[in-house]
Amino acid sequence: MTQMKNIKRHIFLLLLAVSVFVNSQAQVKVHLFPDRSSCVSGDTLWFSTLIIPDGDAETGNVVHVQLDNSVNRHITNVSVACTDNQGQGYLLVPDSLSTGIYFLKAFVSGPEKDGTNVINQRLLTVYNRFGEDINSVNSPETNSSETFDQFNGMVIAAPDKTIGMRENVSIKIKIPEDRQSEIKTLIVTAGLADPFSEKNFPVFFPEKGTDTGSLSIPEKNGILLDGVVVAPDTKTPVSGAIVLLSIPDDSISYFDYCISDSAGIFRFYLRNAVGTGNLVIQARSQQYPVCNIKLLENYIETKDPSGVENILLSYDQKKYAETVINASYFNRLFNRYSLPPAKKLSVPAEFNFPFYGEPTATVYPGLFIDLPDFTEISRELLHGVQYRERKDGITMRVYNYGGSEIFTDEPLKLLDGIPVFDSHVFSKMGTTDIRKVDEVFYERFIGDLSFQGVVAVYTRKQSLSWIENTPGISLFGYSCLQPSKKWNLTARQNDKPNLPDFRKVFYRNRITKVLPENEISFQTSDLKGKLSVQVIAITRKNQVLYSCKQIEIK
Amino acid sequence: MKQIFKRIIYAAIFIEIVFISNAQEMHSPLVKLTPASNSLNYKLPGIRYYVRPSYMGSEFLTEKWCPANLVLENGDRYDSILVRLNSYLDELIEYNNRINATIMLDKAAISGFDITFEDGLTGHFQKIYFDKFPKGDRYFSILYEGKLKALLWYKTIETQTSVYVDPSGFMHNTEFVLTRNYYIEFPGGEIVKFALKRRSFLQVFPEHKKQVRRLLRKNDVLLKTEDDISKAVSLIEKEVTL
Repeated sequence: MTQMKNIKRHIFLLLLAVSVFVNSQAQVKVHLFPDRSSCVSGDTLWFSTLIIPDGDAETGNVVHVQLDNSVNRHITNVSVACTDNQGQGYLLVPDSLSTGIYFLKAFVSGPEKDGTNVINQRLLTVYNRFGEDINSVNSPETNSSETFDQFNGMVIAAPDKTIGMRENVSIKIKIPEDRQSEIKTLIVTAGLADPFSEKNFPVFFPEKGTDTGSLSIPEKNGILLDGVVVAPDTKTPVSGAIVLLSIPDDSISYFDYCISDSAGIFRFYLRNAVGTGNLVIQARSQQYPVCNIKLLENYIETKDPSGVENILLSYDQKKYAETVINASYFNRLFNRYSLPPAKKLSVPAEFNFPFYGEPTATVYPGLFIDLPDFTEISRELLHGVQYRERKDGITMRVYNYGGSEIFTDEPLKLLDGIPVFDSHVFSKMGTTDIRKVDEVFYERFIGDLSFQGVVAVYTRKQSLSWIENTPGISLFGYSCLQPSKKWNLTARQNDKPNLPDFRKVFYRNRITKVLPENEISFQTSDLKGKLSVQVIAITRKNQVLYSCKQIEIK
Repeated sequence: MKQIFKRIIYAAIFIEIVFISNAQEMHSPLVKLTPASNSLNYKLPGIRYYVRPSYMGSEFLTEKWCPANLVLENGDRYDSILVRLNSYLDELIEYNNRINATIMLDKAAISGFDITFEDGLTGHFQKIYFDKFPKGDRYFSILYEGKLKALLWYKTIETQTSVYVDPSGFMHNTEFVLTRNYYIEFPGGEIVKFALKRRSFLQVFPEHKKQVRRLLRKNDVLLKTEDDISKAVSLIEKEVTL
């Protein structure tokens, strides 16, 4: 009898231990709330994100959102910074996507081990905008799905059971007073309901993910940039190479360096880098004066779906698909296709001086008589700079104030903030090209790098065209944090009343001051169908609740 | 045979010198950089520090390199780096053991640092702009920090002395002398200097002289040590409405 009791006790303790272990494996969860469950290729999809932190563990605030097709092929991604664990952004759905169901995946970087990130995938139906006679849609076979809890007691009240096209609608979202205080945010969307994909609104598909890039460090208002240095001939990774990153800017250019590890991998942290622009990267090692650079992208890999199912569309579903495709065509005809304006990449300067410190002297050649080339400029204006053009090459040396002598090595030469290793770039530059020259006459340290003086040339018209002809310098177009932008879906409806209105989403807002009765108003478009009002409520304990209501548009 | 051997060595040295100079180097060719040089922080900027002639006394606050935690103006931290405060130049000198270099760190980039002295005591230094003569940023040791701040500025000065010969055989007639300068920083940012004497300290508060004097007397604060300064400022902050 006592033996039986002992066994029971052991089993109980074992179960307790397992439960404690499972709880200790709690992770950061990221939820994604797109403004639509389907779209036409070329549309702009807006989304909100919610990070649910793992207790006190350090969590980044940057959410990466990626769009994958039904066989997990990466299509596009964006990164948004969250405030108070909530963020918003937009994703441009490429024009060329074929009709089918795609995955939207959101994740944050963190200290999780590979394969333990749980990605709450959302489904997005995309109709190709050139598609005709869409009878079926390819859908991935997903293993498991979960649904957000329904908000019991929330009432979405519309004035009428049916509404007309281009009608001003006012809808009230009522929350029981006893629950008002527990709601932190409401995300309200009103749009045309897709009979095929509407069911996916409160559904998400958890799947384990493995990072492909640098997801081991929490990103806070910044982006981690990873890459590999490879030998130009053998394409093998180069370890110990000095990788220099420059981001040219009109005021103070960004500069950083990294030493590649044994696998040739380097990493930079672009803090507060917002927008899309050019990164100039060059790598040099003792073995290879010129190395090749390959950037690694921060995508997350999830298990491939078990298969792809071809789902036949019903009459209503097919009709909706044709309606929105035609609407997309006419919308472009009448309103033209305009991308949200891209913001030029900018990394705010954290200090009031360039990375090479305060210059010893700054020379503005424009203040002097016009000089035709850099030889003349250095001879006449750059006192302390020895620039010699000979048959066997160009040499540059600067005076060392610290040691009261001329340095024996070349200084750090910069053109618009980008390190230059071949002085030929300067040789034809005269007064008309050069805005200013900064000179540093000390041995300058930047971290563990040291330079025997600095000569920084800034041109009047910054251009990166010289990089194309310079071996060893790579130029990468790169998207960092997405600039914060507000939804502007209602702005277009009233300014051109004579033009047709083909909006599929009529209203989208994130309400942070939640009242017992929250009123929203918008105008419907010229499209018939069902209006779907969807509300996501996020509680102060980060629980996600949902409610929705459909109204006929006639 | 010896001659040939010598020539080979000289040739090798010459070739090495030619090889290591001229090119644009980003670090000393004698030191190989490793990923230990990597940091996601803003990289510490500075210039090469050259050792000055060895006068009598020291231009440094400490005799040895002391570990310090450094905070940059952008909030980045560097922990356990070896530094010495050059109180003559009022500059922070770092010994970078990875590249075997002494670097005078850019004052503009540094916000403050906590240093552990040779005797195990710690000091908290902040860079504060001093708007009197000579104007500029100074590294102040913070004796007390509240609404009022009690500051100590270590300043080494060069003074005339009788002629002596340094260990290298050079003759000098100057020596380094470390001075301690005390200041109170008021909430508005005004910084007032005082000496380590009760009378001088009372001059800092001309409108509350009587009140402060009574307070110091009541609490037996003699103002003869730096601890007394901290205690006095703390009492004034609590008891006197400035």
